[in-house]
Amino acid sequence: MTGQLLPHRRHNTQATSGSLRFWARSIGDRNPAFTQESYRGDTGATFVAHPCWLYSVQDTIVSPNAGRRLSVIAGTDWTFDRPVVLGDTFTTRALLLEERRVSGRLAGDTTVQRVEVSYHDAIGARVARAVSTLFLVDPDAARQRGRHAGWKRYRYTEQELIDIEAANDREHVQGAKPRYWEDVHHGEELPIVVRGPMSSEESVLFVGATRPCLGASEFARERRAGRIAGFIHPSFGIWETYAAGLVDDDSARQMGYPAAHDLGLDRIAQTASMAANWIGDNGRLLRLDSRLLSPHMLGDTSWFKATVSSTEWQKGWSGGLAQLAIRCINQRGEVTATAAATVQLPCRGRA
Amino acid sequence: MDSNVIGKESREAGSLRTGIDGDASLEEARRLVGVDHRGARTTIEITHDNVRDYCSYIDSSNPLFLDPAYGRRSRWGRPIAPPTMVGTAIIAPGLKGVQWIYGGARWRFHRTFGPGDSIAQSGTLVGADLKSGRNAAQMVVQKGLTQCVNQRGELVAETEVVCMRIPRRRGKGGLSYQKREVRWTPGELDGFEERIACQADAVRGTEIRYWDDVQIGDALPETIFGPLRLSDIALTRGTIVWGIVGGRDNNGGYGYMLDHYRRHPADTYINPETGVTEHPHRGHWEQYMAEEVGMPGIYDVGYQRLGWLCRTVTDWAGDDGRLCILEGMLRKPTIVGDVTFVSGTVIDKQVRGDKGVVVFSLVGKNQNGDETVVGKAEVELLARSLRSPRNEGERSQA
Repeated sequence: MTGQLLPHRRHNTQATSGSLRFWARSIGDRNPAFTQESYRGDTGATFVAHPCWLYSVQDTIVSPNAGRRLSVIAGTDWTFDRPVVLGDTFTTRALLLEERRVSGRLAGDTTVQRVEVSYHDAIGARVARAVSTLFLVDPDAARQRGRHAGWKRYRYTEQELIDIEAANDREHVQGAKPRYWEDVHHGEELPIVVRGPMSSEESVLFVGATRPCLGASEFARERRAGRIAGFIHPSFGIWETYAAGLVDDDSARQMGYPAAHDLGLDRIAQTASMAANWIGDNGRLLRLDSRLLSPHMLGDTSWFKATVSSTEWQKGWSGGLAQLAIRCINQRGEVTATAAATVQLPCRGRA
Repeated sequence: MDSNVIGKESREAGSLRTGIDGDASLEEARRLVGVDHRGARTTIEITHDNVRDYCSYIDSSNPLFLDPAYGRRSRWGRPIAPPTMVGTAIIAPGLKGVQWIYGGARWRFHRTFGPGDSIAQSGTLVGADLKSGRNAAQMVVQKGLTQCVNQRGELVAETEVVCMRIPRRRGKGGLSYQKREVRWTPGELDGFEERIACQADAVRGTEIRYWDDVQIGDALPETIFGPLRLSDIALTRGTIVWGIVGGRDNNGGYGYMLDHYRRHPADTYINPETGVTEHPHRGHWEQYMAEEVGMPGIYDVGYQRLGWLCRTVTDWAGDDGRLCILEGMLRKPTIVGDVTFVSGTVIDKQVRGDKGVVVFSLVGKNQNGDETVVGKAEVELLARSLRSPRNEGERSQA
């Protein structure tokens, strides 16, 4: 099926004020540019979406021929052609770019797919392109393999919780003050951003904002037709969707996770938040190539750190480019995600 | 310690043990009667997307709601939304640390609404009473009134919303349901799915149901919902409760919740595994917290059950009927695994002006025969014998 268009679902097809604000808040984003419609006041500027809000239009987890297997996202390479603004409406196109077999850590012999989703506005112009890498995981194999055996939920000390709160309070959003390209230097460190500890509450909000589960009838119909996977819940004895593993430990264990875990899209979006916090309202995120290295379980904390890895003058535009190397580190000190961001910054005197 | 930080002491003040203190609690529960309730204020932008999400939530496959082209050919001239989609904000201020349990609602629908409408919701607390029940020694019942107005300033719906305030299990006189488990055989699960699949055919659709043809005593076809999945509660909550019912200031990632916990330490408990401050309403998807609240298991969001009543009535009424009033009062919790059987009976027929109105009683029972929701509905139907309200619908109001 490589090169073929893929059938897929969409969630938000319209950028409403509520959907933009809700989604940004669900990933813990505090940037008023994405969370307050009135932020730009009477400047004439339009309310813009968080760049990865497009996950709520189509989450890029589109797997043909998955059968009983589950799609686990391992990263997305985003290219943003223009910001999404209030009132935009969308169509999408999904394409299978590549399919191969690998030996995966979660479930052994695994099919990996690269899927491209392109987002188009009302006049058909492309707004963004996302290429996601998906692992098609056999839940039985993953459960038997027990990759996460020995995992224990982290117990925080009082001081660690105080440090997380303090980091939350210190979060810096550049906002309306331009960050000029000339002032940016190779090796410069960005202010740290913290998200979490992730609670089931947060997971519930994010899933609802991004891709709510199918209703009971549709779930039964799709599962019986073999188009989506389900399992009999070990505690409740009823058919359940594997997505329940995003909030429920028992469900997560059915596919080899030790506990309820994040979807991954949220952590990718949070790397974009870090970049957006830093560049300010006058800069723009052009590309975000992210990789998820291991899942976060409920209770985990994401510490985002980044450095400027290069800068480059941009011909024909009144500014320059900067490359950011972003890492997500959990409370145990493990790097669980990385992202390379390309941002466009204004130039002093030419903006 | 930084004074802005929640800290252990204030987090532990978050109470699973707070009780009800008779008249003092009642006075506190009534303190904001008549005051515009900030938590009820929201603007709901109706779109095809959230109408689809809400239909999925109430398990409706009605094309009048889901198919824009079909809706445009209908009496209403456009796709419309299930009426219970708006107007059910919980208005229950005060009594910090005492659990909120959704008790039911009574909607009065004044006109239809649909994609493209912007519904401004506001509400006030209208009263509170002290009551007792079989599973709670004392509770305060608070009643709110919400109003939903469209972008033209027209009243769309008014809703009385009932909220019970009951101490959690460890509080004095707290909620004390016995833990209950539901088990089904594979054959029973198959049977439910077969029935649910057939129910899609029960949508009346374009075949007009005339008032003249309805008789007192007529029964609505029984509709079944469930077995309730954990995902029906948890993985729709963000979309429905936050995205449609209305956002609260504590909804968002952990940073937003921290802001809320600092202002409202009674809305917190410490997760015994992680030590992290969290919110007690997680009993809707976590067994531990459901038990702390005193529920028999992971329990549903009552608002969804009222949506099931709406689905049952709108399936029956057909495209030309209009739901005018829907009332649903919750009697017992529905937990994960439960199946709900909703049925209804025509108890009255009335003529109001030139309109024919049919009145129903509604009841939802679980697999044990326990009534979990009771209600009423009134539906306007076209009537051959009366001057037809056809063409006097929303088309002329648009």
